[in-house]
Amino acid sequence: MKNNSLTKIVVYLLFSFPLVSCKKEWLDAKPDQSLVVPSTLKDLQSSLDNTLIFNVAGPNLGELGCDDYYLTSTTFQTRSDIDRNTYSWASGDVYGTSKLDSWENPYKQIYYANNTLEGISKIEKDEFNEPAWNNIKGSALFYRAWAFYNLSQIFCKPYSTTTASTDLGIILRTESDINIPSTRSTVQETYNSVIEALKHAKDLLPINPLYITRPSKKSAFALLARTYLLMENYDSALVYADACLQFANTTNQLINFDNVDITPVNPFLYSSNSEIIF
Amino acid sequence: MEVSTFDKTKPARNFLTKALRIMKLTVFLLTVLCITAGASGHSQTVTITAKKASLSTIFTEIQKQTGYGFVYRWELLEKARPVDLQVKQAPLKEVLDICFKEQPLSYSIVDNTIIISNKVNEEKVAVTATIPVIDIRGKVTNEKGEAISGATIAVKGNKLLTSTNKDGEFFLAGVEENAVLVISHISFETMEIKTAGNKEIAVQMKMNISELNVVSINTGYQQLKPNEVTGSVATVSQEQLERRVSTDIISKLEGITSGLVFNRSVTGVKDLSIRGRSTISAKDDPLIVVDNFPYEGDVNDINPNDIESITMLKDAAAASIWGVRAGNGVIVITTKKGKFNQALRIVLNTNMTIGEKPDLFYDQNFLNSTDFIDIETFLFSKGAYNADFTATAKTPISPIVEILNKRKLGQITAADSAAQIGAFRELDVRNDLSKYFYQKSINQQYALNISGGTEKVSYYMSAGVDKNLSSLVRNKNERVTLNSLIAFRPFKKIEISGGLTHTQTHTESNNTESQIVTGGKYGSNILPYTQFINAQGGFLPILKDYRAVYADTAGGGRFLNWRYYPINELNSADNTNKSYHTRLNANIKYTVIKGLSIELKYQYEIGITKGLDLKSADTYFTRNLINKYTSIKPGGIIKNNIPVGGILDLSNSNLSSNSGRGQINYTNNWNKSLLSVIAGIETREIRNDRNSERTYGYDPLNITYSNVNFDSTYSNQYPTGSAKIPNNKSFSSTLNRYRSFFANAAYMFYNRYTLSASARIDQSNIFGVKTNQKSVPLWSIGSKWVIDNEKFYSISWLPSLTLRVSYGYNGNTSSSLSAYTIGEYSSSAQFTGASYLSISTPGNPKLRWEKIGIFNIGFDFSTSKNILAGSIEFYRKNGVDIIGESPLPSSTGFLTATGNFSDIAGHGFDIILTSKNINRAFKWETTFLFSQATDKVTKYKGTSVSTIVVGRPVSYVSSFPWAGLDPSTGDPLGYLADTVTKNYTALNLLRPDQQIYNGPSNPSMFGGINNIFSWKGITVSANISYKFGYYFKRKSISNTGLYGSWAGHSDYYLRWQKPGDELFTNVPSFVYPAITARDAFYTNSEILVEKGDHMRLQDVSISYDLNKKQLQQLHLYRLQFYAYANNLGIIWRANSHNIDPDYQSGYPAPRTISLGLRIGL
Repeated sequence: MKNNSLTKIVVYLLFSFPLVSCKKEWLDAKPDQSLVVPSTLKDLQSSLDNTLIFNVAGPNLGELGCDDYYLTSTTFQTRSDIDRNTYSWASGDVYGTSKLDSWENPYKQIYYANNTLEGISKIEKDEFNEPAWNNIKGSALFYRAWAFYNLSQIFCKPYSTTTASTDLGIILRTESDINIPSTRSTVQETYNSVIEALKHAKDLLPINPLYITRPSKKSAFALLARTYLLMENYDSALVYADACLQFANTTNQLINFDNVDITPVNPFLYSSNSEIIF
Repeated sequence: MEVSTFDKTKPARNFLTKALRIMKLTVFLLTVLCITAGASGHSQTVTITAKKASLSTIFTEIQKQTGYGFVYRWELLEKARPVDLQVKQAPLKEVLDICFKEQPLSYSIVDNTIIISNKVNEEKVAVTATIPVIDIRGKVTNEKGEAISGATIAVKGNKLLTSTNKDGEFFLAGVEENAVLVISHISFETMEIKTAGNKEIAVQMKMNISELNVVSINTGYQQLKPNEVTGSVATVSQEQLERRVSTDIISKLEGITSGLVFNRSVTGVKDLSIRGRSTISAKDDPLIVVDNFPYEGDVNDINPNDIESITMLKDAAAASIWGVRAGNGVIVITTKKGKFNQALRIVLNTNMTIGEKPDLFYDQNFLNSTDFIDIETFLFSKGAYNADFTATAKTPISPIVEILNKRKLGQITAADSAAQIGAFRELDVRNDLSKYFYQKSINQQYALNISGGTEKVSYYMSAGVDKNLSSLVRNKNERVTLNSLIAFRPFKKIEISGGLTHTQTHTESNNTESQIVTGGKYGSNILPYTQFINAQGGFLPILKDYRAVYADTAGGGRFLNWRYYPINELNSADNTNKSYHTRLNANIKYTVIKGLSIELKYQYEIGITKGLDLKSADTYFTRNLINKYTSIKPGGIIKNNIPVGGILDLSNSNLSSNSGRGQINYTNNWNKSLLSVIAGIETREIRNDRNSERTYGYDPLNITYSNVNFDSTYSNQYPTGSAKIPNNKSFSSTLNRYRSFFANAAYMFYNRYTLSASARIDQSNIFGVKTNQKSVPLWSIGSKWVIDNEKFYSISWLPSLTLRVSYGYNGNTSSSLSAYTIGEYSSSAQFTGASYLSISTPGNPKLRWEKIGIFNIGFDFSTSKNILAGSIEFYRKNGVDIIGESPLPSSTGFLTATGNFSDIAGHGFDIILTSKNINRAFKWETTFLFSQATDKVTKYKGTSVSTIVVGRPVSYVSSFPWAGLDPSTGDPLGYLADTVTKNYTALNLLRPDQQIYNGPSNPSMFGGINNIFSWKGITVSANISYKFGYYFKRKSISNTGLYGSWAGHSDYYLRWQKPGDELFTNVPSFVYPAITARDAFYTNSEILVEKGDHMRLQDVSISYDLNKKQLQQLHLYRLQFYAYANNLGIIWRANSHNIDPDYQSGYPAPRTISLGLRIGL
């Protein structure tokens, strides 16, 4: 018997002692303390506050190719391949030697948004962090939907109820893992994804953001309205447009153009423009 | 080997004793008979009347009457029946026939002796009727005369087979008289013995060489008998380790370990590589395991005198148990331990090593003063230094140029100028460097160990002191090691052991030779006519960082002396490093039932390193920094922003590792089969913390310091620039965690087949989350076939032949890469002003280890008597998931990433041959090692490391195609698309993959030849090592380098000077101004690529061991005197430029000679 109990003790020791550290988090420790691994609410919010990524680097091919502006032929000659080709609606390879900013920038935003969504899912929501938590998750969902939307306006056929489920959509990346192969969705899936994320985001986002660069309920409603409009779902478009305006009426004001000083090069400044909701 | 028929002098035991007694008598009688045969003597007839008489009585009577002797075993007669006999004057044969008629025995008459044996089977007699058959009995012993049980005795060309009993005895009936017996045992050398009619044979077997050298093979997880190993291992025995004298353990392995090479190109750098390279950017050095756990400390902290043996695990079957850290091979170091039931032993080893002064004249990157001065004069005449005289950075200007300038300005006469310059022409800075900065190195080593054990306790304790005075003046290293290991068995089934190893190292790095550089655009070069001490013995300054005139006059004389005095610096340096390393081991082994045991192992390692570098106010470093940051206020008031005083740099690094392992071992053997299984769990945590800080105005006498302002930017530095005061503060902390599950099994059956399998799962915080979740094991399988144990095997000259085949995967990790998304904070985002985070590296949840698949096939063999023994192994490596760069689809958000995107392949072979050339009192043994290893990148998509080219090794030499020198100008010529060209710009644009591929830059063939001669306790051995099949690009002279940064080279004398020179030189002509692209083309061209192949006499060792008799008189158990000479020099090299490819710059490792003594009590 003595022998038997000794055996038990040894067996117990054998299995318990290496396993004390078998908790899941044990292997999650940062290998190098000097690395900033975005994981706290502050880190995640800060990554969404990167205005270089989210606010100044949107896709511009649509604007480049439209008739909102004109170029003199002298200026035209100085522009890059992509600018000239887009402006002149050239056929064939539009991009030439230029960087694919209109493709790459939204996907960079999508990476940041996915990374934030994965980060926030590891943080428990409680009564103290709820506003910040909601804002981060809502913002990340909004940003990703916004990037999908923007890509779809440049790289997909316009939405058509009859062919949307077969027309090729954009690549819908919903995980930050770079190893996942890129596959194209359908137009229907693309729009569904935008709508779904925005509906989720609108419940999480605040009415008024801390900075105008951050998304809010208003921006989520507005983008929902615009997406439904393109889907020819006018009823829903009306609902969300109305909702957006209701909030905007109390916080934003239309600019009286009579009072605008037109002497500066840029008379309408982003920071002081009361019409901007996002 | 010793075989003998019985003679009078042989000691005998058991039945032999009796037989011998009879034989003695027989021999005596025979002798008598021989003498008396012709005379009367005994009669050939017998008269006996007996009833129920025992055979022995009858034999006695017959012997009495005839003089014939009897040879038999007493046991035989026990079976004999009583005999009734009534004969009168009957012939002997007739009488014997009657006696043996009813007996289970038979007899034969050989000369005058009657030999009794068991009755031979009638059939057998019939079969072998033509050749006389005999019965053979014998005894097998080891060299000490102890019985060997279980040895196999086979008759060659026959199915007869038997094995020895526990007393080492055997009996074979019906063996042909002239048969050959093959006696084999797993632990002994197989022997062949001609029976030559002898019926009694005593065999003394010799231990296998491999058994002698390596009692068992330690994989770090289990001790294996050589016959259980299916993988590729190389072992280094204690004898081999003792042969070399060195402070560290690793350098003892060079040239004696198959498959291991030290890749060297520069003095002091040795890059260990086992079987070639199998990674692009991850760690490429083997895992070092000490006493069952990976060693995280500095391997130089290990005292080689405490090492029992070293095993190198080379292929998957051997190393895959080490999982993700096995990819570069594993070096398993086992320290000495006490043995149970062993008397107290005290061993003292002491030696002294003296090394030559390094040969500074070896380096060809030097140009004599007089020629250098001529070049300076020429350059001055061309106005090359004009800009320097007005440079705001106060560039150093050589004294020659200063003199020439003074002459130009008319400040001195032509005669003065010539005289002053002339004084410099005969100087050589290498003389001063050698005289004041280098010395003969002296290393002293003392090591004492005590070991022993009783039935329940065993212990090993040791202390070692190493005192090394480096060949660099004022550099030294002292190491104290203390080691103790105690094991005890409180109960029969439990063994507990604990060990404590402590090492303290004190290193002084006060030699300032490396600071003797000019700085600025001249980089590390110095003027060849630099002097340190003048004729009166006064310290001389050298030109450093600034023009001398500036350094002397800056600040209007209110600055600290701004010149660098080499001798003063050497004397003022105070740079020490202390390190403490402690390793604590605890093991419990519990044997549940025979064959099944449970083991717990734990190891704690802690290492602390403290660096202290006090740069006193006398040092140039401090004076320079203070002067640079000095402000001169209006009115000429000096403000020292850095206080005048010493600067103290402190650094700390702490290492700690915790390792725990639980393991179950199971072995069982039955019926010629053996099963051995281990399985377990292991966790490890390694933490490294480092920090460093600087204190200004430090006064070591009163331990006071001053504060400085680190925040302000000082915009008017001297001589130019703006910067903050460097605070030299840094912190870093890393943490690696591993959790592993492992299992290994080996199954041996029929004494000739072994199968093994192993698997290991590793999880770590350096892998991606998804990798850890998947838990894919690294595995291996192996097999071994002892062919010579097969019945059909009959190659008599090759009595031992084994085949091993294995396949599996080893892993390798890169700690520089993170699986996590890494961000960087920046302040003040556009529009918001808030701080924001940018993601610099995308996370890679699938980041995993590199996987190296290894196929290994090997033959082990030995000829009879082990005259020639060895092994031949061939392997193929296939590395997948190798860390490399790859473009990404931009929809991931990133354009490139570094991850498991590349592949690499390799193959090679290892040959070891040991030959006993002479094996008598004088012995001569030769060991020959030859290895070949190649690697090749097979998939690489990245662009950032431009030298990686698919289809080539990771490190290789490529060069620009060379078309000779232009016969009219001496310009170098190259090829662009088969056209001879001087378009250097275009030539320089050739990418590595477009250049000529010369070959690998690491040896692809290497090995050693070791000869050992021994005679009466004197052993002399010499080791020759060689490296073949690789290339290097040698240095040469370049216009740009010589003009712009004083880079000299002796090729200067070979430069093209006039048409026709191109017939015997390839060194281009000198042009002014220098053309950078022209020089870049030449210095990277094919013509400078040399074969690295060479052979060197690495070392010679002589030792004398006192023999047993002498030792007994001295009451010692061992006394050895030894001498050892190392780095003896190159015997042969492929290059004709007198370059030692292992030391392409700097100086070759100086020759050393050691004398030592080993005493064992």
